[in-house]
Amino acid sequence: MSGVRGRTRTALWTAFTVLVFTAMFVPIGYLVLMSFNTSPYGTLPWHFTTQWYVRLFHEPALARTTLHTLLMSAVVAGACAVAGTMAALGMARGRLPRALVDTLQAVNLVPVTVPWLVLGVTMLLFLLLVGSGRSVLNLYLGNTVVVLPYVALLVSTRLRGERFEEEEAGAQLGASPPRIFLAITLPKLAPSILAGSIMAFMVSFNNFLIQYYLAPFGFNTLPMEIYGLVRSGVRPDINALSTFLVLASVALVMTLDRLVGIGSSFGAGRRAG
Amino acid sequence: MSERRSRWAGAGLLAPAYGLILVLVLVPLAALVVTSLTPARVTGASTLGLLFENYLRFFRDAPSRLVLANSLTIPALATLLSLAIGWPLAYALAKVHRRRGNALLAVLMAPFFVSYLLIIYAFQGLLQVGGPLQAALHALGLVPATTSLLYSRAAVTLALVYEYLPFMVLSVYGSLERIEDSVLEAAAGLGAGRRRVFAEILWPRSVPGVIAGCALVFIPATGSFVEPQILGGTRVSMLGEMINAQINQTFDLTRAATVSLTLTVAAVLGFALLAALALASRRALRR
Repeated sequence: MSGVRGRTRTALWTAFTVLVFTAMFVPIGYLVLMSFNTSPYGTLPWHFTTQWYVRLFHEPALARTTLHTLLMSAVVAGACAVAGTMAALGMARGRLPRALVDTLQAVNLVPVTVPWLVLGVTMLLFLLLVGSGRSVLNLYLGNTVVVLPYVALLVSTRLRGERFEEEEAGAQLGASPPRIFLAITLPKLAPSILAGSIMAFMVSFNNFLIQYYLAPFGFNTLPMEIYGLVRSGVRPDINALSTFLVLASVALVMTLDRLVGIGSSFGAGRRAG
Repeated sequence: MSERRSRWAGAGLLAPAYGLILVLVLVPLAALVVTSLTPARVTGASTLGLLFENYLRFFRDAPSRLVLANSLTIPALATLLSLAIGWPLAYALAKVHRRRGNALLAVLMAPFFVSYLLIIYAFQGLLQVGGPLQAALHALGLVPATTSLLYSRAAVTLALVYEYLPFMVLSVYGSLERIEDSVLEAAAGLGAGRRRVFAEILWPRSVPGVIAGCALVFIPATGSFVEPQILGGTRVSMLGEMINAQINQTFDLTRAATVSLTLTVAAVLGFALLAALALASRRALRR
């Protein structure tokens, strides 16, 4: 490649990348900036204050809501990791007829192709029909079924690239199936199970459209709380709260990348050769 | 392990996940279809007396048709914009800055992991009268001091692009990253210009990623209801708001079922059109 032209081209791509990244972080940067601003209306001029953080810490309801939502997301992530891994294994190792596997894979995609709003509404209408309605249990189950397909898909993708040889060798040497699973299969799948669980955690933590329709009245999740605050008008302690959420998300994403590499865990395969 | 035993074990492994999908997604969707086909609860109002009466009523109503059109055109525009920004960005991450590609991708995901309600809330502040973005445009002489940028199709589209761009970048990155450098070098060595490399290698091989990206952006975006509610106000409505009002305000569950299914079918058809366009572009470019 010609040196100077190549370098100019690379510089242009760098400029473009920097531009898009900067633009992407404008809304979040704005929230963080305004969390230190005296004006409660999110407008300029800017005068430094920490009063909104003080106010945030005096709001026990918000802390409780955050804990509820964290607990729910953790349970959902755990359930998705177990059920999703089981499903992926059953699909890959169950020696089921080819046509059945294809059908099951298509069924797994149904929750993905229906907008979340419609899924939330559909589940609520059905639960009302069978006399169950909104409840904490249904909230947990509904959140699980929405993210489960993604986890199953991630683990399946990983399994497809693996060979059975080590497991077969283990079986011939007389190891029991649970022992083979724990010693060979599980360690191989661990990165994608972890990536799937973290994704399930983050998605259910944020899945307003499902929570809004399945949470029992009086039980608010954090996104529902934010929605209520946004609709009721200007509440600068949301800005302060968002600073914490941004920090937590960045930490989580960095950890996820350090552990598995975001690109490879979301199906971007290793370059061949 | 005997063939039979492992088959039973396989079925057992599938049971929890598929049991949940069956009970909470497939059966409820079937129930939704049945609900949408039963006559509206107002007795005597069954003037048409047809199986698809609720759907006919929906499509005969001009405002409903307009809202349906919004629910398709706004997400379609947002999808095309995120492709226009996301494809070059994915290329830059996968092929130009590949050593830092994965780390940059992780950074790009961060705002997506922050609640999207906060992104909407941020735009409400940025676009309002006196908000930084509005003030900046006013300083440039582009808008009058008292004109809010809120309550427009542009505001809703902008928020959707922000929410879903990372999905598009991630999908396209996955397919571009897989293209071997040797292929690109061989093409350049044989004298193919950059335009030809794009038309015959880069774009065609990224089409699966583009289609996956369109699914991840377009389908969820059609079901938006907070974005049009907060940023679109009364001027820009989408079906999500209509469904939500039927569930939470008028308790008209039959209509909610009808509109939900209309939205789902429209979303799938719209996505199929986008996918067909992507496939056609591959053929057109190669010629």
